[in-house]
Amino acid sequence: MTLKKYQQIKIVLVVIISIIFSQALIFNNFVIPIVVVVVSSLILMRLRRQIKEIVADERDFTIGGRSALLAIQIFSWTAAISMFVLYSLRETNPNYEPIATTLAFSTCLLMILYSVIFHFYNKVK
Amino acid sequence: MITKIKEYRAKLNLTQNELAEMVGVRRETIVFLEQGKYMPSLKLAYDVAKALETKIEKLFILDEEK
Repeated sequence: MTLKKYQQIKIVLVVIISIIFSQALIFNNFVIPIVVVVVSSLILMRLRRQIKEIVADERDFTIGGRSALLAIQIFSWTAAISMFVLYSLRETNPNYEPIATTLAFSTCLLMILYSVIFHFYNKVK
Repeated sequence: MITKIKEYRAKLNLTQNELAEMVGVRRETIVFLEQGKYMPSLKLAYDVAKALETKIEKLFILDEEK
């Protein structure tokens, strides 16, 4: 399989998933979209192994790693500042508190995930 | 960093695509290597030197050595 064909199949799957998601919102059914996403991911993973060309090399991983680290830093700082601002304004609007809490826990989860994965790669390589 | 990949590639009549396939990277990586815009890992530098039938120090020249 060529990379171009894989990308074409990926686009088709994305369109199908989008249609199913929009229909699921209308009919209030969220099991089918989850199943479709899981099945599509498995199909794409299987197809990716059949690609003869090189999809990603060390340069992609290096740039991806630097980009991911910067993205995490920007997100964490933005989320932390937003959380404090929203929490301080919770008395003006009670809806701010759950948003601030969600931001706080999302940032914590991201930090924990990053630490665990970094520790794993540090040990393995 | 200065590289002489293009010169050695021309000597062996290799295209960027062929060299990329030989060392297991994408063509874009070879382009960035030739332009000196990407610092390869030791393994990649070794693989490129081996593919071009030369040594790493003849292929990659760091700016301090100019």
